[in-house]
Amino acid sequence: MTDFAAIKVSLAIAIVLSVAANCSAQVKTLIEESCIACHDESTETALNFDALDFDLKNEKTFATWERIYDRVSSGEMPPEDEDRPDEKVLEKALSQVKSSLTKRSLANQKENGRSTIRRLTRTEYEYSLHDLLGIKTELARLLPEENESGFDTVTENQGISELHAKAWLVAAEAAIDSAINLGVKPDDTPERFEMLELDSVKEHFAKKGKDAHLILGKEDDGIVIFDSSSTYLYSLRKSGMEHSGVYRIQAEGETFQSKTPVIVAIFAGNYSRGQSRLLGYWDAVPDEPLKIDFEVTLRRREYVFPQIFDLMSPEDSSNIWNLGPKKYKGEGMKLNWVSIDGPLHNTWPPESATSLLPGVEFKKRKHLGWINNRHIQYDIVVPKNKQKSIQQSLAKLAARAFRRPLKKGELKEFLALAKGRMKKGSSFEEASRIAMRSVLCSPNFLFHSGDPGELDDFSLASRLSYFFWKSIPDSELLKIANEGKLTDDDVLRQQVNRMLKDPKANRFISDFIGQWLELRRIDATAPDKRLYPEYDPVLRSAMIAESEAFFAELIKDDLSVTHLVKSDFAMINRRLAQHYGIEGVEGQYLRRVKTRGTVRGGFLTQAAVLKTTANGTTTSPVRRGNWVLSSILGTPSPPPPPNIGSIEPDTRGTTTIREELAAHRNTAICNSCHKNIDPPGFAMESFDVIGGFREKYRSPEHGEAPKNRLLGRMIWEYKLNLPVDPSGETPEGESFSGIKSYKNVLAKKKRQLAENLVRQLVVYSTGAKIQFADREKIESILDQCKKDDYGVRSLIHAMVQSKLFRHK
Amino acid sequence: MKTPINRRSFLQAAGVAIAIPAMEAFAPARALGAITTAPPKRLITICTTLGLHGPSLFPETAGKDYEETTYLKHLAEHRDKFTLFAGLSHPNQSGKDGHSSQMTWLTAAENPGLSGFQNSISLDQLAAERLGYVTRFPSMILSSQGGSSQSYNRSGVMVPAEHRPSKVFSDMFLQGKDYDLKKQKQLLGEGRSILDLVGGQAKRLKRKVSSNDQRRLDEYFNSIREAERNLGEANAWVDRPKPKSDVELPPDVAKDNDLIGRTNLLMKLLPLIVQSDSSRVISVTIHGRNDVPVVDGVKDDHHNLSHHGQDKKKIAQLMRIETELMKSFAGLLGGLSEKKEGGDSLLDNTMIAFGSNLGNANSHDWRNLPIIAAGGNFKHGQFVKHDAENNVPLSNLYLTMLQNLGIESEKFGTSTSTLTW
Repeated sequence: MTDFAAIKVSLAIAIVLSVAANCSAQVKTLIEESCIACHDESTETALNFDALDFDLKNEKTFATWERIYDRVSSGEMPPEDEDRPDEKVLEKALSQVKSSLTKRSLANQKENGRSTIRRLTRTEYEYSLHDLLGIKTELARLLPEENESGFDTVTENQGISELHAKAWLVAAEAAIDSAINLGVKPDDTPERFEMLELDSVKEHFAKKGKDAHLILGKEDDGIVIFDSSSTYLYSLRKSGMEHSGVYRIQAEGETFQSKTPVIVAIFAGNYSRGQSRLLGYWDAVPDEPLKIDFEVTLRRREYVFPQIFDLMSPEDSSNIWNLGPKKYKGEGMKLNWVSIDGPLHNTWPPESATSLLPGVEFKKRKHLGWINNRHIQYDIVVPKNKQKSIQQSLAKLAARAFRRPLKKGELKEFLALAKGRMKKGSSFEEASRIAMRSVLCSPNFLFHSGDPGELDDFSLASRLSYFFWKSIPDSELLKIANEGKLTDDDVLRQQVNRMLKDPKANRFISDFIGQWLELRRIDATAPDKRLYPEYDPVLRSAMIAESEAFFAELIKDDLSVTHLVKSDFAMINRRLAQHYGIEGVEGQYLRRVKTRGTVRGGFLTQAAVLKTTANGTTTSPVRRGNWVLSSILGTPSPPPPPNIGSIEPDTRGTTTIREELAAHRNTAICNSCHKNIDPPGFAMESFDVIGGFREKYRSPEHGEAPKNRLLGRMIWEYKLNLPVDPSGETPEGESFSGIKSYKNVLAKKKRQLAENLVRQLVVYSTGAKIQFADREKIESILDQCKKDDYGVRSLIHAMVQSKLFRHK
Repeated sequence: MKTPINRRSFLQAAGVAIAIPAMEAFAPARALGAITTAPPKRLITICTTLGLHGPSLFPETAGKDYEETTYLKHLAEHRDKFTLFAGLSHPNQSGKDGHSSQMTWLTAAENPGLSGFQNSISLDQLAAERLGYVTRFPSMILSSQGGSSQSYNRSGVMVPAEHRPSKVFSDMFLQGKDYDLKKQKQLLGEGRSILDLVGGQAKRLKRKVSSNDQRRLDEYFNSIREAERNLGEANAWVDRPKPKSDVELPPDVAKDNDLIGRTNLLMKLLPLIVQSDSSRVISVTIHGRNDVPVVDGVKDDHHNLSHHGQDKKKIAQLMRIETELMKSFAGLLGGLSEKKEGGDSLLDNTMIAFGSNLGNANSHDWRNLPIIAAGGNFKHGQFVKHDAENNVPLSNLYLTMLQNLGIESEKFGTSTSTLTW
């Protein structure tokens, strides 16, 4: 150290001593001896002890000290090549910082509660109204989009603005409109579409001679479909739905010239939105007639169409367009008819209307009316005592919407609004509706609140139901809350079990892993059609279903958290088994299949994750490595320093991404993070952008022709080029040869995996980030679950039982 | 009521006949033809989200004598009406993924999408907030597809976009039947009553909660009040007759992969918005998609082409798409130039920022963005090249535009000064 620098350091210490007056002597000693040389005013590091005090009430200062504590206690600081601090000084300093941070954090929680009041997310809003009103209308898309930087349930991530206020008005109107459906009673007889009778099909067959270009086959009772792209010929365009609701769809057909199963998929198309939704898919097995019969929610203006997949080409790779249906020898699917029935209702006007307006009668009109772009067949009979009637419906609606018993006089202002409107000439219906909309725009409905300290029974019921069901508590939960029993440990446990068993728990699974594992973003890119001709909507849908079913299975059987990264089973159907190269899986329902001897098992090797973490053409070990660090291990990397260039992908086939990344690793500043980021990414290089296993990279032009076939035909779209190198070395120096051995490395970090999952669940379910004082409680949850091998269900139970969940 | 003859004839000369039944109906908006008032200034931002291929866009030579490049030759006719910039970008845009900078093109917020990220107010929304309801629509937010936009309000909430030009057209020009107007007014009125009621509840609730919760409820309360005000303003505009357009807009482009068809239509719509003074702040997002756009000679998906990996065949296809986008933009410049307003063209009174949030889509690089400033009576006709290693904040250009719009502001986003060239 030069004299000049020495003078500077001592000056800096003087400042530290004066500013951080309430730091203990040990902390000061530690800073003086081990930190200040690199972290003062004159250095370029982000941390500057000269300007840092110990006023932990200041959020920023608190966060800085928290980070100092973490980096020093993990041994990351001081850096390896510097002298280690004196052990005693270090221990005492850390313990003093820790206790100060804990104390401050607890004081803040005591004053405000851990969590801050938050609004319903758009997902929660939609499910709440579906359950509240008994409707199926899409509402989420009427609300502003959620911020994607973390869970949308977290207060800090939630924007509130006049856009929300206006959207809530619109959405409430749409919801009530859909509930009070006074339209034409849906026909009880299913609408049956004979495939041969469709206009487009008749036109197709009517063409003669050279113009004919027939691609559909014609049998006595149906059409034969030989390819996946001709849906425009047999879309049920006339099936456009007038109402959103639950419909029953049936279809019948059988395979044609097929030796292997064929996939029949049913989609809902939408003219105005262009995008279609896959409603379901089934295997048609040779020599067995296929009967499809299922119920599904369809939305207003959607229409239905079938699409056939998994059709094997003949040996000679010829196709239907060249040969026509008479000569073509490839597999086909005969479809006879499709029928649609709904919306399914036991009563009319629907129960949603009668339950929203209890005691009110409806009268059938002689002639249809036309109001708000809809046919009207029923009128509301104005009750004798209008105000009493409005009060009844509001009392019922508000108690469920507010998720607690109403306070005395709470309805008064809603009623006054309705009364005022009627005075000004509004009808009974209009007045009822404005009062109902007010209930749905009330902060009591739109916000999750509670008083600091232990949550009361009703707030706890809400927290539970929005955690597992994304919606309002059901009557049983409210009843138990009302009896004051929910705060009992055993009852709470029983309720968690009951709620997880309910089909509504799928909402939690889908919403939680959609955000935690980022699967919501699965369609952010689409696979290059030439490089990945095997990708189709069935596979896409199966991918997500797999990951959801897998997580559900871990919860159901209380399987160890190690399954997240390494599991001896996968939840797959025949389509996924095909994709994964696993034999002996028939039928399109998901089931537990042993994965021993394969590379599969655990989230890292699931197609949904692998697709989400790639773009359409290339995979990036950096993107995937970051995903493992942040989603699985809970140790996200900071963003790269400014003015560091990104890697220019070169897919011409002369270099691999690994070779390009190697340059990175040679720079110390890059390597400090990339030594952590790259290894998991390298191991995952064995999987392409749609999650298929690969030993060589696909290339549009370079390399050798693939030897395998795609649905019986030769593959001409891509070549197999440079080999994949999935080996690497962990930052701890453990080397691995590929994904299998890397999974073993991860599976050893059992407690860390469990800690990350618990943290994710706490943040998601309480809407508040992990605070310093939470650390001890999380440790205690982990301690409790150690005996159960950190079973996922045990972790959920222990988390719900802890103060983290039961206090505000 | 009789309309002054000079006014009517001016309007006709300008290409859109606007029937004005009552003077006061038009008064709150700046009267288009009033000779005494200077024409209002407008701002249009247009972002194409998958970048523009640098080597095809940027000339070698900076300054006035820059050579025409593959892309710039399509703008040749307007050479003195625009400036091309190199070396502009927003600092610290490493975000959640390679396309996160799309969220911040108009806001300059840092590290988009990373944990704890909150967006800030976008250029257009700040302008709209300051200008208010001087026009029927304080801002227009348009996109080539879906509701996703780059406009964010003060709370960092995305303001949704409209992608159907037909809807915008009818909102601007179709008067609506009496029944619809009545219904519209009824809903606005009901909306205000409801907001009034729940605003009161929020206030009472606030008294009972802890201080952190209070801050949150304040946001709710303010948003309610703000919405109430907006509904009031909108309500006032319901009563004012709409201008008429004698120009018919072609029907919406149904195919969502017809990116160029949709962009062309939006570029036709923009001059109508500007000329009828329906709005003075417009943001347009042209969303690159994950499928094959309808462009001759293009067989691959647009997003994948943007990751060309230096594959010559892919670059050739990408250039076909982007060439069409450049032509489409030229169409806008043409459309605004040919319409006169006072002594100037509409283009002279309309500032345009055209470009992308990606400097190099192949590597998701958010530095060195392609940015063209056009119109608005700036001194144009140059290629201004800033340091590629040490970029100038794009916010500097935005600040310049804000000030030019008449909005007093010393800073926008990460601006360090205004941008002069």
